[in-house]
Amino acid sequence: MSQTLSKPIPRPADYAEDTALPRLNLGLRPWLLLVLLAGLAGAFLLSLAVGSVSIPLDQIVTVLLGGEAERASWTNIILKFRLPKATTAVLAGAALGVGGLLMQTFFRNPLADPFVLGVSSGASLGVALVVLAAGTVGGTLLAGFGLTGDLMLASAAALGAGATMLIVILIASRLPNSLTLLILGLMMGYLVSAAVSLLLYFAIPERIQAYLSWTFGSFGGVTWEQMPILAGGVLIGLCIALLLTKSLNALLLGEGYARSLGMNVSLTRVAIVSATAVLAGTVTAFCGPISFVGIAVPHLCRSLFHTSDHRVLVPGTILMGAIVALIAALIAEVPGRNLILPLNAVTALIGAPVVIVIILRQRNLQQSFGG
Amino acid sequence: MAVLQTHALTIGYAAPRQPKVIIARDIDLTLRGGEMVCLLGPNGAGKSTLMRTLAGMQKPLAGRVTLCGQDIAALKPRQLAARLSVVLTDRPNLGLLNGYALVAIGRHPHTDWTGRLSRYDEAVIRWAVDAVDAHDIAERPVMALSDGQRQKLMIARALAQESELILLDEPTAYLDLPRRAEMMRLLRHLAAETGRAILLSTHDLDLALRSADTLWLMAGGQVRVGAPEDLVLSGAFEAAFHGEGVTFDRATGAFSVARAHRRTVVVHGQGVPHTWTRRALQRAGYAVASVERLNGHARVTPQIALSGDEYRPTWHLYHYGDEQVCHTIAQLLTALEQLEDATTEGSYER
Repeated sequence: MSQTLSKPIPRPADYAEDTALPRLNLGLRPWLLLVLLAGLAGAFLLSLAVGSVSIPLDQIVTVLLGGEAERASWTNIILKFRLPKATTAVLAGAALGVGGLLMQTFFRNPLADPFVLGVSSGASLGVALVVLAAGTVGGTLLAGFGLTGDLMLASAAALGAGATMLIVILIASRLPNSLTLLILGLMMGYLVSAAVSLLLYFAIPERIQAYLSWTFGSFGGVTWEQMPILAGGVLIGLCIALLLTKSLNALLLGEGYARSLGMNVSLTRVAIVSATAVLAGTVTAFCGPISFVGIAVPHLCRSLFHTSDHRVLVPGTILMGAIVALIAALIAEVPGRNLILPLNAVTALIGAPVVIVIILRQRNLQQSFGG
Repeated sequence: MAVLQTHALTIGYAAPRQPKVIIARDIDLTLRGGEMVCLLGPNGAGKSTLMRTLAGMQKPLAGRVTLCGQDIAALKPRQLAARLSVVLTDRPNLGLLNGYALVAIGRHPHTDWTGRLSRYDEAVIRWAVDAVDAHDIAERPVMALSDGQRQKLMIARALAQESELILLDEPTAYLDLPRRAEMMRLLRHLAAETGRAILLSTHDLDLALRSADTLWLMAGGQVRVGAPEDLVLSGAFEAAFHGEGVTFDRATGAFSVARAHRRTVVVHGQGVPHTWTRRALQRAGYAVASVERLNGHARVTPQIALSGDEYRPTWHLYHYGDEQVCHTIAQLLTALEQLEDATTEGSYER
């Protein structure tokens, strides 16, 4: 140290002139993104191939390229059922993974997930109102407007999520600190579940069944007609998240440092909250409240990439989230049997042990998490 | 060149529907490039408020702060960030970032929205890491580093911001004594070598006295400016920290933890053993005087003289004509203690 201190310090320009220097080692491993991309392609093809009927891979490729499969039923199965379902899983997984990452960095809390803002509670209330209250008012009335089945549920969930989103964004733009927002989201969750239990109490059993099956979550309910809405919402959210990578890295240092680096903290806060609300809201509207993916995927990514840098974590969680959702959907179908398990049960059953193992192996979650 | 200037600056807090709280008024300060200034002051004097105001995190109640001639209130956040960097007392948990990635965050005001680093950005990062002598730890994850190493990287991050001014809020707070001294030397070296203006607030009075080019001494709603030694000689230093639970000895330049003064003791002579004898006596709560000021009280006041060589001194304690010889400072303190007890008992009997 003492020798170093007595020697003169060169200028940055001296380093810039030295063209022989290798690129800086920032500890990022971007090539892992390619591995994840390959994994995603594999999982996607697998989810098209496996199900109650197995379809050979070459036939899937033929159909995807616009050709006809050997059997007409295969083309039908792939295009009408498996492809929209797999696409939905990819979009939902990516959205929830990124939403979880945004919330964990924003609140500097490893337990945060995309739903901490109360978006899924809002969606549940919307669905509960339609499904449960419709029974008391008269389901035929709604059916008369053509609002039946899944589309009605989706619209109700979207309305509920949208209303919560607006409230949260309005509050986020006025709050002096982020922690209050966390508590507010929690309180909204309690309020909504109280309202839902009241509705459940007065509802007729068939309606309760319909509500419950919505809460199990599913990637299978999205039709090609609805897909552009889901894809649009998710892509908008993902684009905002990609634009935010630099700000998210600055936020690792805390809001004080982020401000000193020239970041507009209140604008960033609104952008993060909006992106998460759009991602979680859209997915919940179409797939129900999918738990666990949002909290687990960012942790999986951090331990895979071994960094907290969002330049690889954001694309990483997009790919990892999609893979995890595809695999969960595959397992829920119980390949080879005519049985479909609740998606939420599968994500938690498979996901929880995985996360527990990772955390136990890592020992220092709080540190590695970087909050 | 003046990097930072304040013009009739009044700092404090203004909340709606409440009277303004003024912490200090009419502050005129100048900080030049290549200069390292330590901001000192007792707790609650307003150091943090002044730092926050200078960093543009808080609005002044009156007056202006200019950075390279421009009012900081008129600068956009990004322009301000390119001229002013900070090292805060927060200890963010940086998780799995490695050293270079942490320092790279300092380039944010200079990079585009993707944060992509150009060749020049990388050169600046390398330079900043070398300037704080951290190249051997920069590829390790920050969470595996010690407090001192991490603080060096935080300073490198501020350097990488390429700002004319670096503000550091208690940069030595979490460090052990050798690391603190090293940190101050490093900061001073950086100021001199890179021409940046460095302002740091600290509670480390002793170290600040030894390392700063200039001190800003904040107490009683005022900021006194001067070379450390000038502020000591003028008594401003003693006055500022009076009643803080420590007393400052102008003769030795050392602080001592204040206790109620038991009595005055005279130490004759000078040299290394004398200095340490004075320190020991002050620590034990005696007021130490030089003989000149106490002529005429020679019999009442215990007097200490030293003999022998510097490494094995002997202490001679004189009191009412008695002489006691001590071979260690511990013995000397015990002997003084007994004198004290004898005197107290005597006065009690009377």
